[in-house]
Parts: sequence; structure tokens; C-alpha cells
Amino acid sequence: MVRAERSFASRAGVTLPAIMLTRRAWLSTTGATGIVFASKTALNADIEELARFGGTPQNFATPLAYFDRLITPSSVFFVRSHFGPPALDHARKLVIDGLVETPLTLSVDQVRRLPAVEVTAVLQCAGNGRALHLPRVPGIQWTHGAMGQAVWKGVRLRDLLAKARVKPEAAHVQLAGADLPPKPQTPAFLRSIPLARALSPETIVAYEMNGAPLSLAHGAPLRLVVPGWAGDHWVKWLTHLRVQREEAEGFFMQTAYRMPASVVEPGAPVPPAEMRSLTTFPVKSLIVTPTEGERRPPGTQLVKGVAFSGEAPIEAVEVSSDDGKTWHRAKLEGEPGVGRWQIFSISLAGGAGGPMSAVARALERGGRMQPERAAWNPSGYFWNGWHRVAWEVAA
Amino acid sequence: MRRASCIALFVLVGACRSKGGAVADRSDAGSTAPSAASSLAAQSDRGPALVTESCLACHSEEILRQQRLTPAQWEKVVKKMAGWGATVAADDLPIVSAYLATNYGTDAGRYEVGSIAATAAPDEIAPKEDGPFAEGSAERGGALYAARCASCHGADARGQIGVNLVDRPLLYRAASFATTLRSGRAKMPAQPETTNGEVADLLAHLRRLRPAQ
Repeated sequence: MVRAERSFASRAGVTLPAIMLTRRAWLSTTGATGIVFASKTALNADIEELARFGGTPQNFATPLAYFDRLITPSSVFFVRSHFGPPALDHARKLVIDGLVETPLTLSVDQVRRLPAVEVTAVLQCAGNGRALHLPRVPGIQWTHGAMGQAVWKGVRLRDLLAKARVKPEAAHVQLAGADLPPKPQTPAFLRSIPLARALSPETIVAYEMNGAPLSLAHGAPLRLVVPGWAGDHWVKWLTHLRVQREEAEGFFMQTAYRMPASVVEPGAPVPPAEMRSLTTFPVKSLIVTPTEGERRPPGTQLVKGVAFSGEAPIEAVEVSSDDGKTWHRAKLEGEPGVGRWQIFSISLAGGAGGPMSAVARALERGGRMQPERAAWNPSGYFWNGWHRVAWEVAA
Repeated sequence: MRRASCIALFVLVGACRSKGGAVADRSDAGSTAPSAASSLAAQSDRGPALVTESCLACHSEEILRQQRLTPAQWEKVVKKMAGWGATVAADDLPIVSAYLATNYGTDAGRYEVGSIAATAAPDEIAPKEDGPFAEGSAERGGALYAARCASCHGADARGQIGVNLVDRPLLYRAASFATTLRSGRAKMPAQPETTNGEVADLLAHLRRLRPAQ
């Protein structure tokens, strides 16, 4: 049994898995996947780099080393594209129609004239960590880098919807961007969010990221920001908000971005009727420092990383240096919030030398703890298993 | 305000291909035996050409190389892509699936992720000056498009055998557009004889096509 000394798990009434952390369990989340970053993507390189998972269309991951801070620089912020961007067009209009009293067609300038708000939030691809799910599933084989935290500036979606005057029977806001599928047979990327989420004050139509206008890769001129919800809802190159009774139809709503309603055996087929549309990303933490296999000098060993949840603010992060026998509470930095990350850090006694390891796990307010093993699902979404890093202490 | 500037994206397949040959052989893979059912298809030497012509029209090679899937998973993926417009004859689908399963199967070796300079990433899709491809005639371009391009890209340029050309960053990267046209790409044959003026005309025509909102 895992002993939960000084652990928030016991305080929160969380049941720990009744197994010791075995080397095999850890391998399944680290080295055995066959995916590694090229070593030159580390921060000690002279130039900033992204990890390249695809150039056509662009799919780039943020190197792990950049997750040591509250705000991820835009220059190394991950890029996820289904079809690739449309042409850059600042004259692109935003149409709001459907179940509204006053359909609107707004220019970017008109949107910019509305009261502006800033939201600090994590953008995370639903498939972040897909390569860590076993058995493997098709899709971009992200490890950790399809996430980042930025300051997003724009207007509240509820202000736009108020201008259009939503009809009482409305229940969903369907979302479309300007990116066109490569072939007529390819389904368009259409998503929707429930009206209640659209009216939440944190949901914004953004035109700035980290103090600068959105870049094309990140959705210029307008993109949706839905803090706490997976990136597939953060529609880029946003051109159309259609208020409807029903959620959007089509592949990307009715087939993709769905998870089993309950836990399934890894690799098991899941009937479509038992799948649900995914929404918020689950609680997760990730160790950034040290890095796997690093050699570090003797003395106190600093362990640092990020923790966040799309469902609640982070309550605590714990780190174990003995593979889960004992846990120690880390210090948290940054403002807690739903869909907002904080930096955790803890100094571990270093000893004379030899191999060391650290495992991190996060707890969100309300008691839900990051699971030791992420729930496998047929599309490889929402990997959030405990992260373990091993390094060598040597003079 | 009119369109200020625009950007391109699907441009780099040529660059990817030049790195390791069309679809590189299993240089990074361990030993994999194709399943008995697909062994005949796997023996076909048409796999690399079919993958280049069909998959690489829309994807860069990296997306294939990073997968580690079973033959059944590859078969499902290839069938899905054929339904989405990938140009593979029904008879050739098993060859494509078998080739991918043989090279990027569950026991293929380690995949090393490449990198791109942070400054190069936006530059790949950034609009560029038209240079020698400026001031084309949309009318002449429309006629040229109908004669040379429409049979593959569709009369409306929304894609058919070739990919969609409407509202694409590549239209505002004239030199890349010209290179793609002259060198060929995926199933598109190289058209090295295309003049600068013809490129300018084609761009003038394609830029006036706007998607319905």
C-alpha cells in the first residue's frame, strides 16, 4: 500500500490506488512510448525552438522547459491545426445569427470598441499526452507540449450575445472558423458550447494574446477563449456564432472529441452510444525541473513544475522522492483559478549522490486528485497520470 | 479596411520530401512483420508512391512517421481518410494500409521529434511581397485556371483531386506558390514551364475567390 503520510490525499478523503508504484507503471508513462524530444529542443539551445509534430499543417509543441513560468511566451506557444489557417485577413467579419432577435455582422474594429477584459488561462489540446496512452491510438503523438498559459484579451461573449438578444429557446452556441477543409468531402471543423458556458464571464472572443495582437497561427483576427475547456472549443479565425437549440452537427462534434462516459479497459472498443462530448480538462501536474536523465550537483534538489485543472482551482501539489511512499507538499506560486495554472516548487534533500526521482500529483479544490494512471480512451484525450522524473546526482 | 496581409501554410511538403526521399523507408524503425492478411499488399512496391500522392497532399510526412498503430488501426485510418477525399483507388487502399502498418507499426522503433526555430514557425505562413508575380490579370488567370487547374482542384477551387485553394495563406506567398506549381506536389505534376506572368494571373484569379460565410 502507498503510505500517505503528510498527504493531502488522506485529508481530502481520496482513495489511493492499492498498488505500489512499480517501475513498469512508470515506464508506461515515460520511456516506453518510443517518443522523445530531440535534445536540441531544450532551453540551453541558443535559439528558441518548438518541437515539430507536423509542418503541413502546422502542429508544434512547446518544449517542456518553458513550463517553469506562469506565462508561456507566444513565440514558443504550441500550435495545433486541423486544416491550417486561412489567409490572414483583418477584415474578416464575425457573424452572430440563429436564435437571436438582432443578427449581427461585426468588424474586428467594432468588436474592439466593446468593453475589453483580460483572462489568464491555460490552453490545452484535448489530445495533449496522447503518446503516453497505451495501447497507442491514432492522432498527433503529443507528449506534454500541447499546452500553455497566456493572457488573453478580448470581449465577453455574453456582451456580444446580449447585443444580438438571444431568444429564450436557445441552448447552444455553434462555432465556426474561416479555415476550410482541404477537400469537399472533409468535414468542416464545427464545434459548439452550451449557452450557459457561453454566458460565463470568463468566455471571451479574444483579439490579443500576451499583450500583442493574435498571430495567424493562434487565430487572428479573432478566436474564442473558453477557460477550463479543452482547446477544441477555442475556435480560431472565428467568423460565425450561431445560436441554436441543438449542439453542432458533424464529425468534429458528434464523432471526434468524445470520451467514454465511464472508465473502460485500455484498448477496448467503446460503442458510440457510450461516448460523451468532452468539455473541461481534468486535474494535472507536470514536473519541469529536473529533466529526465539530467546530471545535477549534490545538495538540495529543486523540483519545479505546473499544476492546473479545468474543473476547479488547484488546492495543493505533492511530491514524492521515494516513488509514492511519502509525500511532501510543494509551494504554490500564482493566482489559483479554474483553468489556470500555478507553479509548484519544493526542495528535496539531496544526499551524497546517485540516482534520484520525483513524482508529482495535484489535488483540486473539492477533493479530486490527479490519478496515478490516466483513463485510457479511444482517441487518447486528457492524459493526466502522475509525472515521474529520474535524474542522477553526481559531483 | 481591405485585407491587410495574408499567409501560407501547406507549402512545405516539398521540403519534407526532399529530406529523406518521398516517403522514407523505415530508417527509424525496428523489425515489423506485416500481418498475413496484408502480406501481399505489403509486398507491393507502390506503397511509397501511393502514400506520397494521397496522404502527403494534405499532411506532412511527420504525421505518419510518429504513429505506432496496428494493421487494423491503420486500415481504419486509411478508410476514414479515403472517405474524406484522399485520392486512393479502392483497390489500392490495402496497399496503403499495409505500407503504413509495416513502417509505422506498434513495434517500430523510437521516433525522434524534430524541431523548428520559433521565428521560422510564423514565417512559414507569413505573407510575402509578390515580387515578380505582382499585378496579374484575374481574367487571364481565370481562363488559365479553367484550362490547367480546374480538372483537379475543381471549378470553384475548393478541392477535388487536388486540395482547396480558396482563402489560403499560400496565395499571399507568391514565390512559394510558383515553386509548388513548377516543382509539383503530391499528385500534382511539375509544371516548370509556367511563366512569372502566368503565376501572377493565377494568383489574381484565386485571390478573388472568397468562401461563403
